[in-house]
Amino acid sequence: MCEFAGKLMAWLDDELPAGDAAAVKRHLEDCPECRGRVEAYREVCSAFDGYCDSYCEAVVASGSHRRLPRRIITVSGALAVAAAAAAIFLFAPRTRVHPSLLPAAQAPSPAGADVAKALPPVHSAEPAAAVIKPDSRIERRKPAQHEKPMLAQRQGEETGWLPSEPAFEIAIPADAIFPPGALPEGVGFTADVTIAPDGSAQQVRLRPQLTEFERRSTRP
Amino acid sequence: MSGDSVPLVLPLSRLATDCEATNLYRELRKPLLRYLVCLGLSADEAQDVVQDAFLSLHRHLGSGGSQANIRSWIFRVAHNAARNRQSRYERRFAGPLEDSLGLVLDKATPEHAVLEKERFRTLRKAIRLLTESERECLLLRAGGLRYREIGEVLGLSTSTVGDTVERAIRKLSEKCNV
Repeated sequence: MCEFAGKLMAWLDDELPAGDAAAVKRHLEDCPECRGRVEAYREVCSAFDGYCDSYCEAVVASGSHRRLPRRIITVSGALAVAAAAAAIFLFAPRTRVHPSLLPAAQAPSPAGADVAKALPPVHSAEPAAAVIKPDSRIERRKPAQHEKPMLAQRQGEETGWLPSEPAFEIAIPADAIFPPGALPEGVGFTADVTIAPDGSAQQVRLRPQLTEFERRSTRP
Repeated sequence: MSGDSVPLVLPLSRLATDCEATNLYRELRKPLLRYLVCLGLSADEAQDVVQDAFLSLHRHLGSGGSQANIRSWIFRVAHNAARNRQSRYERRFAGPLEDSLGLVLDKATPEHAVLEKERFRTLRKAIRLLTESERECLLLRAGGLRYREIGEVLGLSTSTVGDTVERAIRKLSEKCNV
């Protein structure tokens, strides 16, 4: 390879000192190989610049190149919903409905009726079961059939009431909801999922949680 | 290789004023935006980084910061911001300009579509073979920076930048059969 081959690009970019540039220029008059290289370099540089220009224009015009954070949010949101649905699904079959709440066609067997008789009597002054605790849900008393209008009325009055003890707590990293860096490190969220008596999700509430802070506090 | 600086549109002695900062913005915004987009940032991200970089420039000049090498200064600020964003999003520099074929070809006229498609495909393949440093040097060079300024942005010596640019162009030339 020609000794000037390594200086051709710098000569094209006018980066050589005056003496070296003059030497390269003289050499090019006598060396067709280097002249061909210079022409090739010019063409490649032009193509590269044109490619960058077209690319930038197209990206700016489309305005939607590489939205990785948005993809993360979508996937994580779907996972969070799937987790909540799975929790509801796993928990809902454990609900025991008082026989008196069932219509006649769905009345339990006589054995079930005996169990129902063994349950403690209904107390009309007890508040409606808006929140169902995982540990005590099976034993939780259901209102009698004649109490249903009162229950409905009470629930209607208490619209917007936030339960103090959620049925589920699902920890969601903050990065799953917000773009990385939007919140300080160590901040997460806990989703409180409240289950209605019929097993459906009644309310979902997000609470911020300092996960790193709690983790550090447990260290000696 | 010479270390001559590129003559700026505005004299460096007047850079401290807001008017001059505005003119610098007009001069460098497009090359800066193109560099960031070609690095792999989205259009919105690149525009955010450009805004932040010029805000930093305004603060820098307002606090009496050095006015020397202001072009490489602002490119370095933007380059570091882009790197931070990409590492934060767990993205890498390995992919810039790679998935651009469809975007670029959308702009091509039907008459030249086939020719442009083949040309861009070949160029894209060749660009993939470049190292990260080679690609960044070429992008900064395409942005109008001198080798000395590219070295200041990337933390390389001027001679290393010259060798890298030469090697990258030679690779592209060989792969594109030019």
